Amino acid sequence: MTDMRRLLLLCSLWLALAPAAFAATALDYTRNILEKARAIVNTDQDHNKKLADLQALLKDFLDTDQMGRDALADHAKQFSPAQMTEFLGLFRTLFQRTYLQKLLFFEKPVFDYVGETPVDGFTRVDTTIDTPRDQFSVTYRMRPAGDHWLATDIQVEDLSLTNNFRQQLDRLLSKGSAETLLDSMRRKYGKGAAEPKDDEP
Amino acid sequence: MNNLRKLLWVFRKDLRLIARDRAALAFMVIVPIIVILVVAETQGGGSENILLPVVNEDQGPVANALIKVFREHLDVKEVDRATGENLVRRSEAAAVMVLPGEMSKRYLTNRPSTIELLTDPAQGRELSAIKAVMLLADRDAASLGDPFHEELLDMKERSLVGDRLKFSSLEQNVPGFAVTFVLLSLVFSVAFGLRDEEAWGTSGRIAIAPVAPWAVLGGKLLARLVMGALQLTLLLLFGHFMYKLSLGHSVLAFTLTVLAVVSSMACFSVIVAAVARTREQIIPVGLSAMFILASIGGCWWPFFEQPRWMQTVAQAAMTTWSMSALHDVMLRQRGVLEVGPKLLFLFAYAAVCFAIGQRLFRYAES
Repeated sequence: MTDMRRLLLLCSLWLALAPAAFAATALDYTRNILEKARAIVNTDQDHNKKLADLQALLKDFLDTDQMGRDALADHAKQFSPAQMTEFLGLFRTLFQRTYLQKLLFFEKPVFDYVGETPVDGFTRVDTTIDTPRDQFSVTYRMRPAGDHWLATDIQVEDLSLTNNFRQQLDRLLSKGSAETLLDSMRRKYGKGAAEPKDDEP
Repeated sequence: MNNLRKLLWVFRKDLRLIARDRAALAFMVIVPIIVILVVAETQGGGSENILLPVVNEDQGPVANALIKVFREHLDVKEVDRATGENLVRRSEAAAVMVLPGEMSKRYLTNRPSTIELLTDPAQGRELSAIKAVMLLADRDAASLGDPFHEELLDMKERSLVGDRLKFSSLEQNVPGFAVTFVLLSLVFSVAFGLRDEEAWGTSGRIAIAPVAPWAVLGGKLLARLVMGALQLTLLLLFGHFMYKLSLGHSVLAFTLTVLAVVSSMACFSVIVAAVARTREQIIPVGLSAMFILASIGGCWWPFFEQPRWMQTVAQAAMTTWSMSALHDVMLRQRGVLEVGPKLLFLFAYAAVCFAIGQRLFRYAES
């Protein structure tokens, strides 16, 4: 390989990785992801296609494994390693859908990026979704992960989604076993579970 | 063999007699076709014809998403609260939905909100259709966003027109069928009664008697009116005692409504008698009039199931006004003053029909 070719290859690689490399701060990375999400939401595609594209986009943004463990809290002890692996897989779908359903309520979301603040070893990114009449605050708790950032919790107004799941899971696991919970999650989010319809908001 | 030949002669003679009345023959074919077309058209509507006024106090994304789903199934109109309540009180809408302020914020932070549904329970089927769409919208909004089935949208129902929140389907159907049978009786008894005068030969004597034609016709109709009013009252009383059908709070309003309904139908029957110039024509003309008026007037199925244009046309039918007045008095428990304009319309309708009928009606020359 000639030097010229090597140089061209390096330039191509640099160009390909440039967006990630430029997403140096948590705020920039969040902005990058949310603007892509906004572009998907604003398309005229059907609901399921939007959902699929958004799920693919958020794969590298949401740390659902960490959220799932946080949501289980002390109940994690009730899970065998195999059950935990299955739970985290199902929880990923559950969390993504919950977050995306909330996002998809906004027909043409307008994001405003307020700023970022380091808090307890994490970086807190404050954003808002603006509507003609109202403003909804959405805060992301971010941690660095290699060349990008991962959200370990999302707070909509005063509701932390992880805390909300913790309360719901606590209620369910206090009454039933891990297997019962997995059963109900499998039915709803496992393979073969009913897909949402196109006309769902 | 001889008898068989005579049978064929009689057959030929009767066939020629029937064929002589061309109008009756035409009515036999054309009228059922018209009735079939009308009935088929009345079934062409659906829930998208149901008006649902929505008071959007939220103006947020969740309210917009709900309204979007409602629009796919109902005729949604965003209004202020006073306008919405007026639409229900005037029976132009079965319910007004109030989406409360801050609903979106509460929903997105998993806090429940209460949607108010201010109703007119007398429009039971429209209301059921609205509630079905609400369930659908609630499910659409909640099923995935709220994974563990927490109820985030609660509904509080309140009647704007009376104490009760619900009427049974019998309570809504009995008046419709009662009106249908009274209309049927009146159309045929008036038309046949007048044509019978020709058969009995009394029409000639009436024509030369020193009495005004309107007085003769009026007297005959008055007798039918009394019989029709008794029939309608008895049918509704039967519904009351048998199926607990509400008759309303005001005896006077009930009595005047029965009289107004029967007057309009009795006088309309004179027009039917005038159009059907022979006994043979009475059955197809009478049946077609009865079928069309009962179907478009909301006697058999909910008014909203008809296409919009037919609902507009139905405003000219006395059955529409009759059903509306009966529902006002019996289900909405309204008094004379409130139902007064409808009763005045029905009495005026009767007067106009009487005038037209009296002008058109002629005895066939013997």
